[in-house]
Amino acid sequence: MTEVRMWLSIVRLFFQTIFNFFQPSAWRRAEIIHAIVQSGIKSIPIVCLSTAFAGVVVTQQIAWHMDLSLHDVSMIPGFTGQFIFRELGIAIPALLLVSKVGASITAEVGTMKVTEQIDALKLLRIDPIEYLVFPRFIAGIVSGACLTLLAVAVTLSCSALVGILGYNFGALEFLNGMKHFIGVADVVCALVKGVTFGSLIPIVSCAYGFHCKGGAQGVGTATTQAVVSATVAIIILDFLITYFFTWFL
Amino acid sequence: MSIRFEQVSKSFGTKHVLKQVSFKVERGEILFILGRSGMGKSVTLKHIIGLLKPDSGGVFIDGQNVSQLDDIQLAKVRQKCGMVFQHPALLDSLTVFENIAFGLRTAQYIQLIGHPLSEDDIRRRVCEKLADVNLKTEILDCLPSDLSYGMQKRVSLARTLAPEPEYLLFDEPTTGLDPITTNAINDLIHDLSRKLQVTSLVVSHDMACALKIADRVLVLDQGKILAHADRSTLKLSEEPLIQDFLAETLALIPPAELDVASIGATAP
Repeated sequence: MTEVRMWLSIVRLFFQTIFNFFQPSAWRRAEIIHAIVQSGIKSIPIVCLSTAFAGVVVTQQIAWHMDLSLHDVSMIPGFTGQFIFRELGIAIPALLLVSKVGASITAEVGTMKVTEQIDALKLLRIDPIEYLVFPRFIAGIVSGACLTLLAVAVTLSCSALVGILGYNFGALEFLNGMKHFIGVADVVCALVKGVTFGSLIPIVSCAYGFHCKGGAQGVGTATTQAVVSATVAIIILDFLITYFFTWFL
Repeated sequence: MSIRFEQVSKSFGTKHVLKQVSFKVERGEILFILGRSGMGKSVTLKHIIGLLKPDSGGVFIDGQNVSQLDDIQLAKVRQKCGMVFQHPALLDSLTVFENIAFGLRTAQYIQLIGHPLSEDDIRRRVCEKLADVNLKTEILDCLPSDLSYGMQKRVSLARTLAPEPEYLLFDEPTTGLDPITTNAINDLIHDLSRKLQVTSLVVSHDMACALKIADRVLVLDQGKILAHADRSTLKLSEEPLIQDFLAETLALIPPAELDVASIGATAP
């Protein structure tokens, strides 16, 4: 019941944040740029490192299984390309953002809540949603889209490297093999997922922060709950978006 | 120009924090709210600025029922109020200067005074408020994390005073401060009340401070008002809790200072 109530307040916070799109005062460039640096630019190294290794491992696994069962590795570029575009290159950065950025947002907002900074903002006639959530929401959308594209590019590059070095593909041959399996819909699907996950993370994280109670222990509990909820929500949304793009586009 | 509580009740789950509390504070008055921890003192203050809504009853500021106002009307009421929270509640990412100047740059404040303050005026006001709370301008560029708890608390007070509100709400303003600063802040509350007719509600455990500067003292216990009286009447109360508070005070302050007639805002 508590979880249902929490998700209702997450949905309400989402719409309240969307409302700020039409408030000129919400578009504070410095805060939005700061949030993009925090959530996006500072996440580039860890996203690149993780997706690079993920690309290598997945390509190795697919190649090994194809070789073992079909005695043919010619389909590696197509299979890996589609898997990377639809799942791997998107889910990994999203889950990394949840643990890195989402946790930090909940901890920050939660600490502000328990130390009465949120109340102080209200008393200074500052809307906490406009001041705290909106810049992070915009940063989440921008970072989500950019990091997804970056992660896909890095994963594909590493996958291609494994194909070229380990299975004697030519660079162009690998690229052409991929092109047969990947269409515009896959690129759109990747971007839609990136933007959706990027916008979900700050909303869920801020909502848990706003509902934080107690002291340090309360902040810790809220952070854990936010990470778990956002992770589960991303997995469910991932399924729904993939389902939609697979069957309807 | 008054704050009025009418039969206000508030519960959190099964805990009844306020039970049909009624009282009134007139313009320029200093009301001290005393009581043990967890007896609803801070909850009382938060009702005034609409951070909490009563389960029943009403809280009125200048005749307006705060719990029935929409966001725009509530923002206007909050414009009249300043609150010093139990925690310093400074914004961690902003410097001391930016924290104090924060309320002077809001659209609502600009709307209230009719024009934006120039940067020179903002800096002058910030320095003036910083001096009021016994702090030097060297700390203006510091982040709150660079300051001690006591200094953060005083910066928080300066931030509250900067927009010059009509109503000041203090939630344990002197907890964690040294005696000299405590006296300075008590003097400040007294001066604001007497010179500018600012209405002050002070939540505190400190009976000595209450006996020095309060016009009236309200004692809360178990969610109800145990006493609501001026200083001299309060001293005559036979309620055990009030006697306990007084006994603590008498142990700390020489009898001559507790003579109501001789009490001034300034500590000797």
